[in-house]
Amino acid sequence: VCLVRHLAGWILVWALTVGDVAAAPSTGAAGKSKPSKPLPSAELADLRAKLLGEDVATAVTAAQRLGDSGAREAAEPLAELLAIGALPNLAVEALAGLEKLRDPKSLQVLTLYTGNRNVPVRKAAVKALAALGDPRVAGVLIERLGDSAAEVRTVAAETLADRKDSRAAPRLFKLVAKNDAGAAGPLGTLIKADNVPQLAELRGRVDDAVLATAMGEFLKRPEVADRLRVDVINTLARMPGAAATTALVEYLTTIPEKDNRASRAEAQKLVDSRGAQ
Amino acid sequence: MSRRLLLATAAALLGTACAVPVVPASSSTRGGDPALVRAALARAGEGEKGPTNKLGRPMAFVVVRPAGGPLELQAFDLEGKSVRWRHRAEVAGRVAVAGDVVVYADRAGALVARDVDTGAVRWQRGLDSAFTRMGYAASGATVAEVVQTAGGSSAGAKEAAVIAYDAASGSQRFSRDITGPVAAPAVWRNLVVVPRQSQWVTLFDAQSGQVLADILSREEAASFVRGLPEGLFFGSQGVFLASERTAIAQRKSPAYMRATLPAFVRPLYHHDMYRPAEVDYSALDRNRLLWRATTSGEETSFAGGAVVVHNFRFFFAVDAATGRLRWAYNQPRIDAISSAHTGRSILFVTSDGGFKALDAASGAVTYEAALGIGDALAVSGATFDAEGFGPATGGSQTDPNLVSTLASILWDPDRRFTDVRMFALEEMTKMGGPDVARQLLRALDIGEAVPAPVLKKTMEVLVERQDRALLPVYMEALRVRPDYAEDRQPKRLDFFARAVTTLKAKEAIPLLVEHLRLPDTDLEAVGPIADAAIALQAKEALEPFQDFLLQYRADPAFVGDPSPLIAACNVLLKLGGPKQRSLLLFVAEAPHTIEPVSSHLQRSLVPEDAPSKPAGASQGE
Repeated sequence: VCLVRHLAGWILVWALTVGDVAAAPSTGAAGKSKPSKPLPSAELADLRAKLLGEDVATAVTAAQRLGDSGAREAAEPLAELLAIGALPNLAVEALAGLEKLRDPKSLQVLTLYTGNRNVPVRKAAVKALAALGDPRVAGVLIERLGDSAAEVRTVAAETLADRKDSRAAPRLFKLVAKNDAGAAGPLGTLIKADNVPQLAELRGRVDDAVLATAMGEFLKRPEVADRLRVDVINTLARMPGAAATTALVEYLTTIPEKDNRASRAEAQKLVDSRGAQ
Repeated sequence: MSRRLLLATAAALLGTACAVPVVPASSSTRGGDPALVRAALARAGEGEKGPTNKLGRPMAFVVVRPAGGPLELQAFDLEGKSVRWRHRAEVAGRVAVAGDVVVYADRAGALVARDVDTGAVRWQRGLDSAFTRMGYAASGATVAEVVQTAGGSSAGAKEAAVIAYDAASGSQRFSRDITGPVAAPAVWRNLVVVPRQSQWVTLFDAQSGQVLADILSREEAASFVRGLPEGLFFGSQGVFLASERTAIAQRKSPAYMRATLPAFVRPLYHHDMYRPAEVDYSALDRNRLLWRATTSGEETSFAGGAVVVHNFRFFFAVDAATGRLRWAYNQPRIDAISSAHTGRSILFVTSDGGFKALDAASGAVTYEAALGIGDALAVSGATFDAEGFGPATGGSQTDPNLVSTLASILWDPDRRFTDVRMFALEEMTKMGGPDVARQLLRALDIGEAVPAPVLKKTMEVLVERQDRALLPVYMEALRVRPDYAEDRQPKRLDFFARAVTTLKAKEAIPLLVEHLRLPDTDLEAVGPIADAAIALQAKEALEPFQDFLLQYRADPAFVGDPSPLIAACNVLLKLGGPKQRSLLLFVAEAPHTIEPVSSHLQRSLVPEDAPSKPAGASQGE
């Protein structure tokens, strides 16, 4: 919450002064931005003017150009636009640009927009925020696992899985228990091995496809004991349908060629028998 | 002649309070004669002190349809808690009880008398298909009926007959022609009493049929007449005790009583006996007043100073003089189909055959029985012959469970009865104490089961109570954030905003404004949150409202209802300084700000001089 407290200061600086943009508070934990070629100052000024101007189509093009530029200074006009408010479709473009630019200084405004009422805007904000390496992002993403929009939850869940943030696992489990397909893969990535039996117990209450997705992702994890993988494969064996078969096939593709683990044989046998049917 | 015209004629004749000619004439030549009325009432003799039936046992005669079966009449012994007899019977009217028999009209129109001891049919009387039976009654050794012999059941029907039978044998004692319109009769002691021509109550000798007297109800129609152990009563909007002093009945008489009732109550002291349709059991039996009287000489008042409102599943004892609630009872889930005031108790039977008695003074449940344990059945009506029935409880006139009973009514899952809930709520608001607050707070957890007006009113009541002891509850509720994963949704933020405002609880503002940044916050709550911030001069709300305004100033979703953004503007206008005014100027002029917001700001900012130049970013707070 405190992330947004200084926004008004930004707004006044950006919206009401004609001069240079004041520096935003540094987060001190910047993401890894790729090195980029700076935008010429004249072009930057032109793009900013277009972005903040009346014409929406021109503003959208400017937002895209700024995002595509990869230039560090391109983030400021985009954050400025969001800070003073924009039409939702323009906000989505600005957020997409910030996602590409990964400017750590946009953390506050992105956090604010993860609570926007417009779902596409909110989803874009979560994606842009997820692109930042700042550790404070995780808390926002875990909160968004409770978002009312499935697509926003999915973005948050996938990002947390990519980050291997196991703090998200309990909430992901609750989502899977509510048959949330978007949480299934991330849960498979993050669930503790001890909790896999509880996952299996959801069978009957949750679509097999959702469970198969979660278990399939779990199978792919290299640190999982192979004996546990065999148990999971046996659970998948009891699930008819393509989702379980797909999970097994995908698992087989992740196993190194010379690795003859027991779970491989089990999975292969099951896939073969389903193929024969 | 219409009833209205008759009323006008009678009124014209009543310039003096002495006896007036009967219009039109019965065999009596004088109406409203105190001496005749006194003599007639004296001739009535003494009444029964207990049940009418010759068994002397408190009984209920219940019309019931067992699952999938034909209609039955069952005699239930209330003391023995057992069915004394049951017979198939096509009952199409209320059961009336005499000493030897119970009588009812069947679907073919016949008046059927069954032995009160065995239920065997003792006698029957058919009805000419050209006639209309206005009703029938029984008591002691007499059964009486009134038959409209021409004109059907219309108000203009003039030809009627009052017929009396010996209850035991069914032999006709008399049939007396009478000018209509005539209502159903009552049998009281040794009298047959018939309301007629709206204003008149004619008293017949039950043996000979001789007209003994005519009472004139001068100021209101006499649509019913009712015989009770404590006297003979008649009336419509109120109740008169028949006496020498009410031979010409006026409301100012001490023999008149009328209760002060809550607004939702239908003031039905008895069914309208001019309507043949009301001879049968109906919803009227579930929505009426139960009352008894205390008489002293020719004065009367409601027994115990109270009447009891029967409203489907609910019973309320109301002080007749003040309308104050004394006790309440909520019959769970199913309607009380028929009820009676036995003097000591309110006795009723539910649609599934459950009997209960409530102490008339306290509302405490003193008796329970079941018509058929485990049987699926549907009761369509019942007549109680149970004068004086009900265990005594010591006579407390207070209900220790009144708050919880009223709360159970307020939050009852049955979606009917909005008016009753409102009454329960109104009564609760008159009470103090933590119990009331605790029960009202259940509103926060109630879903769609309760009608919206009831919930809204409850919220208003809670706010108005300004109970600071509730603040921790409010604060806890404000901490709830919407969360799909946790199945959590904050409730009624608008209410909490108003509640903390009345409590001047500035400490709640950070919790309130936090909801502005959440995507699923009810937009209807933004206005009350803004009002709270302004009322409490909470400058810490400025930044959240700034964020809210800027984030959505260009969002077309707010064009239809810009009130949340207007509310945010108002917070900045009223609490903010130069920095906020500059920001609002920017919002008013900026591209894409939705029109209602820019218009509002332009209007709001005009009265004061606009700054000569925008405020510096480094200025302000």
